[in-house]
Amino acid sequence: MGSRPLEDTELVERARQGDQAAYETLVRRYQGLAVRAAYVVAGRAEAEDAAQEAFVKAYRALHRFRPGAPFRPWLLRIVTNEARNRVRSARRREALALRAVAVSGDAAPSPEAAVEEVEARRELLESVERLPPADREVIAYRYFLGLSEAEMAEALAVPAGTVKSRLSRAMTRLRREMVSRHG
Amino acid sequence: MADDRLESRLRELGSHLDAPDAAALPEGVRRRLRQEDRPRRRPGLAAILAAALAVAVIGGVAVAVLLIPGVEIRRTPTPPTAAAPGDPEKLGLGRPATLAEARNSVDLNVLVPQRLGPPDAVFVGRRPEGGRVTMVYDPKEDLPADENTGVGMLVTLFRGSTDTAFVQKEAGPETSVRPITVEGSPGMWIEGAPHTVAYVDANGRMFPDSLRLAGNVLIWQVGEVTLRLESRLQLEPSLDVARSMG
Repeated sequence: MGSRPLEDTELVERARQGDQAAYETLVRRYQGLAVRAAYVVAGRAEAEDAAQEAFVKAYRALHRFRPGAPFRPWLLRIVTNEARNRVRSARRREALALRAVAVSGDAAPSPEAAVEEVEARRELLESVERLPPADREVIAYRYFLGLSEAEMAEALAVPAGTVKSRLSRAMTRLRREMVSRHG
Repeated sequence: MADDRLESRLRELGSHLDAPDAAALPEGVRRRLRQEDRPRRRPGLAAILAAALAVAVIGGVAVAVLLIPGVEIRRTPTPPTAAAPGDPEKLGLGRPATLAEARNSVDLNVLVPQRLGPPDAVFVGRRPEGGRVTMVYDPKEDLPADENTGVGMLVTLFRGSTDTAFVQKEAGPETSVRPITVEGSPGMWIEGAPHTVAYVDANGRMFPDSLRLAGNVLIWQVGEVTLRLESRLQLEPSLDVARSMG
């Protein structure tokens, strides 16, 4: 764990001096994470463009970056803002349409079990998608992106103490949503 | 369902999330940053005065002038006519693309009007050199459908050249053409009766399928890029949209 933050810090410092190659290394390192974050906030149609725009805005904002701070959550905050700005209209919210790839794990004991596994995954995703945006974001950032609570606080722009209670509330709503689906 | 069971199911779901492929993203970012580093050329007062003078001269008939790089206006004694297709796919705008694809396939800084948000459709054209991007906005409450195009607004960007016209417009006597400035850059405001617009190739030939009637049009420049808004909006709301593209 020790080497990556240090390396990010050095790349950020070089990028701040105008070294675009250093910044490109950061872009390649976090492109997948940024697109996934934009995807869960803004949906498929906006994800790639929101992430690209966020990287450009982050580059422009590097002079405001606090030297030595972790780059990843700072970047994700910009990605989150960019993605949120794209879901203002109700029509775009409807078009969120998150999807899971329809492949089963290797562990499925039979074709029937594999089908059930894919179906269960789809249902869970639909339940997550039906949550209010704030709940969906906190669950997606924690479990889909694997962020720590400290990173989530920075990325979602909420106080550190709030993340835990917000996540707990979102999980309660998710369980309720799943129960209501199954009557 | 127990907490840890739901948590592990969510993690498992996260590993199967079908997020878009980000492979083209670094190249897109690199292209954008490269353009940012290019110093923007601000036109001087002389250029703005030249644009104003050029308009004053074309009160006559069939005089062609290049007011804005890549744009030619021809005055005609009678109102022009052209087919008026209502389907954006048939407006001669190029091939459909996403905004990210468009940014990756042209050598332009593709500015989006913040006032309108992300476009409803995007098209990419190969010509002129450097490419051309057109963003289409559907009609909505404060953006009425244009009777010629059927869409709310068309926003077109391309790299204008001062020695060859890429967009050719024919404006009849009912159409007013006047010079304006957008954030200090020279521009033109064309309104009144519809005028024809067509794209021309390097040899001056028109693409026949691109000949159509246009509504109110604002044309101006940002750096080396020529921008064009077409809609039913009047000058002030059009300028609001234009300024939000800074």
